[in-house]
Amino acid sequence: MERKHFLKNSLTALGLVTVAPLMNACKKTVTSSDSGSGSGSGSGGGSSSCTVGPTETAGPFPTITPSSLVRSDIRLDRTGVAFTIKIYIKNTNNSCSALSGAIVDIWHCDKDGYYSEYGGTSMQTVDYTAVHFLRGRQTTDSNGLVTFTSIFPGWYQSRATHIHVHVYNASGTSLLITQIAFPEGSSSAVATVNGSGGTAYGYTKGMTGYTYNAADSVFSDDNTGAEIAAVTGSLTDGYVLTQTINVAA
Amino acid sequence: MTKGIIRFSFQKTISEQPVTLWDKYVFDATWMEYRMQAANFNQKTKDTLFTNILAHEPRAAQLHQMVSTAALGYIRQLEGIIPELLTVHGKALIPFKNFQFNIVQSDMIDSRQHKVDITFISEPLTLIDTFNHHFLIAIGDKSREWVDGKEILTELIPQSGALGIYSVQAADGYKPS
Repeated sequence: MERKHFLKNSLTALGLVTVAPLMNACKKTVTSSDSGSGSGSGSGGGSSSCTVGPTETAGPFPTITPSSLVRSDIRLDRTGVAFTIKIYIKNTNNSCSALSGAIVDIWHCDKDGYYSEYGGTSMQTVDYTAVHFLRGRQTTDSNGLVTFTSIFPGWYQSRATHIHVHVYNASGTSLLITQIAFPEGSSSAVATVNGSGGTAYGYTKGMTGYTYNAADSVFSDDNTGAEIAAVTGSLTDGYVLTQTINVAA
Repeated sequence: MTKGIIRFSFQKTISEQPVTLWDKYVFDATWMEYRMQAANFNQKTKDTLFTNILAHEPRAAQLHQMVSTAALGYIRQLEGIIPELLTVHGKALIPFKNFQFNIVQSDMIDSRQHKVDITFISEPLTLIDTFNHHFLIAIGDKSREWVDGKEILTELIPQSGALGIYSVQAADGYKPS
């Protein structure tokens, strides 16, 4: 018991990461069709019948593995109003046609206004430095589209509701860092989710002290509304956000 | 009598001349992730070198964690065995669950600058003795078996500059019950 305490405390102090034992990425399964292509110089112990070959303990056979950020469902343990994010990437260097193969990172705060990978600051006292919720990466399809499953973001002091977006070309070169703003008004999703109806989903801040787009340090210069997405849906059905972002690729 | 329960720390450095295929995959993935994530922190200065970005933007310390996301899948492929921490017979069999990932240096343009290290923390081991620059250990806490006079299977691990002791703890077999 004492040792467990000691080890647990020292892990926390040094910020170590634990590997969840969840993958069998290297398991090598040999099937009979594989064994049929051999040289035939074996000991003769193998069977010629059509059976699945033995599974061997995985060895050091590395396979190329995507970053753990690559996920479409970015909720992890976060709860809130259901939310689908659809982002179309278009290329201004090609008549604003769809850009396929672009890498899109997004991240946003949870219903209480907290980000993962942050904490212990005056902006966010809750320590979420070791968790990765509400962050994800997808690659655009032939329509330039990426889709994420999430929860409707909350808000925090001095900022309007927003989603961070970082767009890269296929080789990982940064093309654009931007943010997506939300429509406002009494019947808007932001007002509804943060209104009395959203309380049942855990949104308890209300709209008192909310920073609207016109007063927001990031969005106040967006005179044309180009950064404001289309948001449709309801509390019960969830909301769908659609936004087009133009980059020069 | 055993000397107690220890956990090894074993540091593996991955740089521009990867030794194994695993090293190369980790190198390529983490350098790409560095180039992608560092772009979040150099918008004003256009610095590309990690230490320069960090000097101008303390928030860039997050890059250690952000870049580690690219290595995580490869670390899982190790299936809980510390690579290259070998017994005198050349076998890798020391278990780990925890690790720490650290960017030593990197650059968004020059891959030759990219260097990361991963420190693996072993699961508890019983340290029986040290001699001739070797650790004689048993995997797990075997202090009770020792007290009971049972045979304990051991491994002999050569000492090296990459190998340290992360923690020590009195063996359970010597604790007052």
